Formats: sequence, C-alpha cells, structure tokens
Amino acid sequence: MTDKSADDAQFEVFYAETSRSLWAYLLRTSGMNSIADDLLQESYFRYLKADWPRVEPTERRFYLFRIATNVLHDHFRQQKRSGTAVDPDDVPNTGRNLNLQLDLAGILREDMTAREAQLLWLAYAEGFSHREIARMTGLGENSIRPLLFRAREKLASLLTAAGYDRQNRRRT
Amino acid sequence: MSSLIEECPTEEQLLRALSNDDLIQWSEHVAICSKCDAFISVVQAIRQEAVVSRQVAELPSARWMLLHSEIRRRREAADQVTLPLRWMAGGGFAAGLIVVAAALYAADPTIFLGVPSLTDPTAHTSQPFGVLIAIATTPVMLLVMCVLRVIWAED
Repeated sequence: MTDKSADDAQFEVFYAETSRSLWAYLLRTSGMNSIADDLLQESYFRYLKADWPRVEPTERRFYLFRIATNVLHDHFRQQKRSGTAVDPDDVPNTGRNLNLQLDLAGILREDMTAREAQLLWLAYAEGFSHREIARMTGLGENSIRPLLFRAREKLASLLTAAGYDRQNRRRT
Repeated sequence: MSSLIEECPTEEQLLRALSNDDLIQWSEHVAICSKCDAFISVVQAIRQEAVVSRQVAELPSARWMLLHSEIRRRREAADQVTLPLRWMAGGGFAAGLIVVAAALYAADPTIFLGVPSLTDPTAHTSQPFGVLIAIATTPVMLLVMCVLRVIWAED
C-alpha cells in the first residue's frame, strides 16, 4: 500500500517533468493534436504497465521516449495498413512568436518526413545522444549522424526559403 | 586568423554552447561559417518551437492517467481471465447444435433426407441437405465467434 502510494507520488513528479515534452514530440512527429493526445495516453499506459519502478531513475525519461517512439511506429503502421489519412487539426498557437511556430510546425508536418522530424526533435529539442536515438528508433548508431545531417540541411534550406535569419525573425 | 575561425567546432560543442547560452565564444567563427550558422539556425528554431509547443499542451493530470491506467489494467486482466470461459461458451453452443441435430435425427431419421431435386421431379434420390447444414453450422459458428472476437478486441 505504502509502496503503491510512493510509486504514484514518484510517477506524478515524473509525469509533471516529462508530459509536456513528450506531447510536443508526439505532436511534431505525428502532426496532429488529437493523435498526439491519444499517443500520449497510450505511451503512459504502456509505461505504467511495464515494471517502471525497476528502471533506474536516470533512465526513465529515455525509457518513456522509447515507448512513445514504439507507439508512434505502431500508429504509422496502422495508418498505412488502413490507408486512413486524417486531416491535420489546427496547430496550437500562442501570441509569442506566432509566425515562427506556425511556419516551423507546417514545415515539419508537410515538408519533412516523419522520420526526419522525429530525429531532429529527439536530437535538438530533447537532447538525446545519437546512441540513445539509435536505441529508440531501431536505426544503426552510425546512420544517425548522416541522417541528422541531411534532415538538418533540408530544414535549414526550408527555413531560409521561409525567410528566417539566425535570430529566428522574419526578414520580410 | 585564429584556428577557432578556421576549424568548425563539433556539433556537441555547439550544442553545449547553445544550452549554456555561451555561443559568444564561437561568434566570430559562426559569422563567417555558413554551415555552423545553418546548424545554429535549425537548433534554435526547433528549441523555440519546443518551448512554445510545451506551453500550449493541454494534458490530463497525472492522477487521471493513473486512474485510467488502473481501469485499463483491470479490464485487460478480466478479459484474460474470462477468455477460456468465453471459448467454452462458444464451444458449448456449437456442441448444443450438434446434439440437437443428433436428437432430431434419432427421433426421425428421415428428417435429414429432405429436399428432393427441384429440377428432376422423378428423381427420388434426395440430397442430405439437413445433414450438410448441421455439419456446416459448427465451423460457421466458430468462424463467427472469431470474427466477433476480433471486432470486440479492436473496440
């Protein structure tokens, strides 16, 4: 009983630390709000169902993102099998830096492949190492660097075409 | 021209500098190196996007997640436990049909010698129509059960 409460308390802290990052990852990789909501729930369900208290605390974030990556792959596989294409929801926005957000969200969703968006996000938004990304995605560790390089070059040229300078401000 | 300007820093060095807000040490190099400039543009854009995305997320609470996870765990456990019972119920139903067919046959053996040929009224050889139906019922019922099980499992 006490253990369960302690685990629950531990989970609540972990959830507060990770849920927003995980949702952003799922949103920018799947491209849809409603799907990101569903995948977030599924990821935490699987995480809770697994024996998560035995995972080292320092490994838990990686473990969660690995589960979420599997959930994403399952989702894409199911989508491919059923041939269903859902219209993207409105991209959420805030008053801050609205142009960049809308444009980058649109670029990630429409001009980049899901794999490219996923790799860029894991490496630069979440700061995972190439080894961790390889373990999450099932790709070879040596292939992460060139894949990231190509994805980065592509995004850089798309950002330039959209009119951003390095301070992420529109030039036009 | 210093070696800093000539040689590109590693990706890790740039990422560390970005994270520590210490990009100034590479500012001279970045000003003349389009590769590093593009790298920093991409990383900054993604990080900025990440900050905004995290802010707008509308998420259920951790308690909601725990509660629903527990409900789902119990439902899955219950499904697991009742699976043999459901299979037995299906098997019992199929066996019941066979028993009924057998009882009918025992009561009146001609019951399954049913349908005379419609195209040839003179033919007295009848087709074992009832027997075929009785035999076909069991696998059909099993098939229907499997289909329903798959559909329910998806729901």
